Amino acid sequence: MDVEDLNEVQLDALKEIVNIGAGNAATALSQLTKKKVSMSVPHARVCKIQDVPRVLGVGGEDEPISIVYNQIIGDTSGAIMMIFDAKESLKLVDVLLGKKIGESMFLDEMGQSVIKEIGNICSGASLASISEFTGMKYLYSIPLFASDMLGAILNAILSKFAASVSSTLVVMAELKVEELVVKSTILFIFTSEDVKLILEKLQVI
Amino acid sequence: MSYFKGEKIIVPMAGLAVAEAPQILSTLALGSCMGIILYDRYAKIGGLAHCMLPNSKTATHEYTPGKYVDTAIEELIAKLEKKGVKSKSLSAVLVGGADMFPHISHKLGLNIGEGNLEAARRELGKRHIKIEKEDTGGSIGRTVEFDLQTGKLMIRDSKGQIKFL
Repeated sequence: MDVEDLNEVQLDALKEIVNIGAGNAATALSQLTKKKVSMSVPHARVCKIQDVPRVLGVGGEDEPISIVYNQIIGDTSGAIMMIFDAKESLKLVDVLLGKKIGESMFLDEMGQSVIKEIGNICSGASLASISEFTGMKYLYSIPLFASDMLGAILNAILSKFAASVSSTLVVMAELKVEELVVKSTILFIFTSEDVKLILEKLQVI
Repeated sequence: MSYFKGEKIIVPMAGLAVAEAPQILSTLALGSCMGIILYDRYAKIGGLAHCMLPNSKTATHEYTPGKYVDTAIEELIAKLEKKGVKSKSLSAVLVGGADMFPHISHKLGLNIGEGNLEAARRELGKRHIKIEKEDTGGSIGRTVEFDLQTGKLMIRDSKGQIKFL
């Protein structure tokens, strides 16, 4: 049983579940920052683990990115991460900290923790939404932040799971803060047991 | 952008390829992954693999030789031998094996780079293949190009720094 076994309808349903989580995350972010925040999930797809860097790396696998990584712990293993283009993450920090867009040239410690918090909230909310749906309890590690080439970071993470998991769920998310729209990707790595459980629940729909 | 003249063969993650001069072997964004180049400087024929994990014995899924250090080296040698290259005339170049989440990677089992590097050294040692050039470890992403004509290696890291070995 693998994520690959999801059909179009089930994939759509799963996208909807993540969408609900994204909505909750936006509300939380909005309350936290006192800004207008919304989030939508326009697209989801399943992708073989070794193809992820190529699928995400529109500008090349060595494009600079910022990533927030949460490892799923407890009864099961897996991971969830939110990935931003490096330049996009700078804009996001600027607007959230009330700076002029384009002002930040690099992510300082403050900027990193802003991105880390956004990633943590969005990943947490998506996972909570799936968890509510499957009845599984997911615990996750504190968020880790990294900034480097897309492929270099992803292959470190994907390698950890490459021997036991063959596919991942890639969800495109659009985060809108005030007038700024930032595209990002939420990437889920689930074990086959979890996928089986999610699939079983999705058969019901 | 190319730093060497010649057709560039880009090897994806978990992939491997064999080429000959004037072709250029390249792979993008090595993090904890191990880039392994084996080549014969006189025949100007070589191969590159972009491996994710040290050992194929851990695999429970489909078999992809380029994904693991041990099977990638075996497969590269087999492919090179088919081209008439003898394994004793091969030298090796190693790039990658970084730790992308330093300090915390051990706790979360993300310290795969270390294991990849050890496996590569062990597997090459077993076959008496000398490691001629190496840029490994640290916590930085690397893109590489290897010119089979001259045996020159270009490494560009995620900070944009370029070096030639």
